[in-house]
Amino acid sequence: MAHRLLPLLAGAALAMAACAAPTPRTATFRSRPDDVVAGDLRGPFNGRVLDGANQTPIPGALVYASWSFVRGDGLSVAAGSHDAVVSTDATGNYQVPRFADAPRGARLADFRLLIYKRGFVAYRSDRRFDDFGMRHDFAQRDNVVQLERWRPDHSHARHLRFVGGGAVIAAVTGWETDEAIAELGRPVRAIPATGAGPYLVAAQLLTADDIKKRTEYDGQFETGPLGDEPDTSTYSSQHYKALGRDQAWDVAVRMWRLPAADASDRYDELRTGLPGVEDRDEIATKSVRAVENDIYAIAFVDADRGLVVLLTCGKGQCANVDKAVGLAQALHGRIRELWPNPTGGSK
Amino acid sequence: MSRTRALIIVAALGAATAPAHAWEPTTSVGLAEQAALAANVDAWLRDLGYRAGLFEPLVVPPEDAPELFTALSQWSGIDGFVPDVRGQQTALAWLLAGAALADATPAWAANHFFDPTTGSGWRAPHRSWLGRIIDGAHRRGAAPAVGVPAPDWAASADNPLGLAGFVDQYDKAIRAATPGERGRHLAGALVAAGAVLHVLGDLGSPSHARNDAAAHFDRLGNGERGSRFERLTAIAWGRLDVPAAIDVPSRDQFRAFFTRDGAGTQAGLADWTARQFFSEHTLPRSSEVGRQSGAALTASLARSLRRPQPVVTNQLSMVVATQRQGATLRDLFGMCLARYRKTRGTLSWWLDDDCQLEQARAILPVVAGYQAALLRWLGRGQLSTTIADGKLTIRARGTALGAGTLTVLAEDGRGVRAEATSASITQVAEGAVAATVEVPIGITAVVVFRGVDAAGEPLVSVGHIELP
Repeated sequence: MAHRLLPLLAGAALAMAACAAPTPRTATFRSRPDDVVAGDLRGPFNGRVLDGANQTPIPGALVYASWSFVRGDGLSVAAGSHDAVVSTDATGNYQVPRFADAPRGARLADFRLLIYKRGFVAYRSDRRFDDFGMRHDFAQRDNVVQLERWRPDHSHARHLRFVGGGAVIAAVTGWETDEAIAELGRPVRAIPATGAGPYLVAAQLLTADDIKKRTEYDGQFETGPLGDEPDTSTYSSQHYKALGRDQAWDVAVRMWRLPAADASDRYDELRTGLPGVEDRDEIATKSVRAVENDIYAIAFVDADRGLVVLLTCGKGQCANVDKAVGLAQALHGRIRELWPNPTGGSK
Repeated sequence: MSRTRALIIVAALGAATAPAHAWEPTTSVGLAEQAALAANVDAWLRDLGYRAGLFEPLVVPPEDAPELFTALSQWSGIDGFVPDVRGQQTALAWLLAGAALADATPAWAANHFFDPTTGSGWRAPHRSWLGRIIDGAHRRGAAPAVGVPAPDWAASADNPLGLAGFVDQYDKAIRAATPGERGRHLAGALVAAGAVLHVLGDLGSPSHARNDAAAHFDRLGNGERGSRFERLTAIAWGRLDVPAAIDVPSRDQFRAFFTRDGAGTQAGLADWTARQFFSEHTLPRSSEVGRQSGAALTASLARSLRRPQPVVTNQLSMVVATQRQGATLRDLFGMCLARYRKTRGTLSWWLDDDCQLEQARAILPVVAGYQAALLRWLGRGQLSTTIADGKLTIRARGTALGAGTLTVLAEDGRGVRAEATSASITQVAEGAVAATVEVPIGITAVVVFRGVDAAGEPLVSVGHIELP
């Protein structure tokens, strides 16, 4: 009897083994940033997205998670993918839930995460943008993503290759296509000289916490470049948009970095163009206060460094003009920290 | 390669490596992308009137090609070649989609092998009865016993994504009446071109050019089997980091990209690969060499070879080979060909990860170069057009024309094209006048030749001119 059952049992065991769901591949990323254990392709995933220039959280960034599957043995084929789309919250955090089941008979082969926010270089969990090399710092949990701000020498054609396509991604990257087309028709812009001194961008000069400390605001900001004109080597901007509030609660910083003579001209243009201007010269080389409707504006020029700064603060955020002046003074203090020994305006 | 990168790759492979049927899809797609950049497909498309070149949005309505969209639905948007819900993506993405879809079924994947020494394609390795039972239970015994040799498959009329498909779609991309129809056919031509690139590119993988099917069933962990070499390559370079193409001379004939005698990259890609590299299961056999040297050692080495090339000289260091870590056989450029070790008089051979990564680093730019040359060949046909005294004169440019049909199309202000006239051609030398016809009425005259070139290879040549 036993000798009859044995082949049946063996066959059943083989069939069960063969029908078991294939084991997922081992992840090429860590479980946590400070861990050496491989992560789990199934997830869950969580992390925080920050502005690489000033470490402030980036709310509202698209987080696109994608699991892919293969099927077969030896000669295998793609067996589908599963996507999850979330976005970062007001504190820049994201959570991607664990993926439950692969399609029947398919093996979970890979997981990739893409984070996209206009005005920044996108982030992929598997590759870096600068050299397309393998990314080593992605972690399943407590991942920290520092998005690099978009620069004029970056290539949109390269960026579109980097982020990929599909319905979700195409919807947010469509605007880049025209830039990429134009770029391929002409040489990529060379990086303009940034002059003497350290590389500075507006986002480095003021943080959301600096603002809250001085205005006693207890809400959250969404930060990013202003939409008026793109950052270049001579201009950068940062918008602190108060979440859930009107623009009277917003703060914005615009900074021009120019040769000394041009900086003076730019300041004079601002001075004559701003409404309700009052010369005060209380910050840096020269400064003015201005006011229009619900917005205070403070402009100053730092002639030694060739910097011109315009700070605007809504009257909801800055209860009086002194609050705005205080922000501008803090901002100039930050400039002096970052660039302590100027030798004259940008060359 | 940085130590960190190598460690991560090794860690991932050690635990679970994937089965692979060719270059893994990420590698195939990355190679096609590099080929497109090297071949300046952007300029080619702009010459055809697509202002946005590689980034031209092309729409294939999903209802027009349900099988295509079913196949593409297996992929993720992050892969870079999945259209949106309207069926739109860039010209570059359609090319990459073809490179991925060439492996859509195991039967197609089996047609990407070619051994230039025998002319044969895929031969499935022998499976044990146990293996066959497991295959059956998994419904994955879909790998056929025999495959069509890659050069034949690429040119086969049975291959919907082969050369014939490209020529047919490319011709329609010029002749179709409306811009929408032309864009749809151009997307189809690019998909076929991408798939042809994939078939060619697979011959840069040594197991594909050395009849080494067994390399695709190596045990790799987590119950997976596949080619370790190809999996390593995919992890190390992905799609985006595939190296740029090395310039490879073009060919007069399609098949010559795949196989042809010649030195270096004058040879076909399969020949180049098969001569230059070992694959996992075509390394020299282990052999008893004792304390042999000179002619005796040479004779032993010759007997151990499974294939005549790469040549293993008797310059092996038998002293170094007795170390536990063995020694390295390198080619003239210092690249690792294989590791060898002598233990108790027996000389044995293997390929480790570092050695295979060195090989992949050497192979990928060459493969992308062959593919770029093939792309230029596919788009080689041009016609120059001039208008004088009310006549439109058409000349062959860049390539001589063989037998075929020359058609003049008139395009109106809405971009709608209609045939104005056509003529049969038997032979036109490069630069010679192919035809002189009445200037058609319209905004633009578009001329297209469909036939063969002087070498008898399929050809679609295109030219256009603004009408006075």
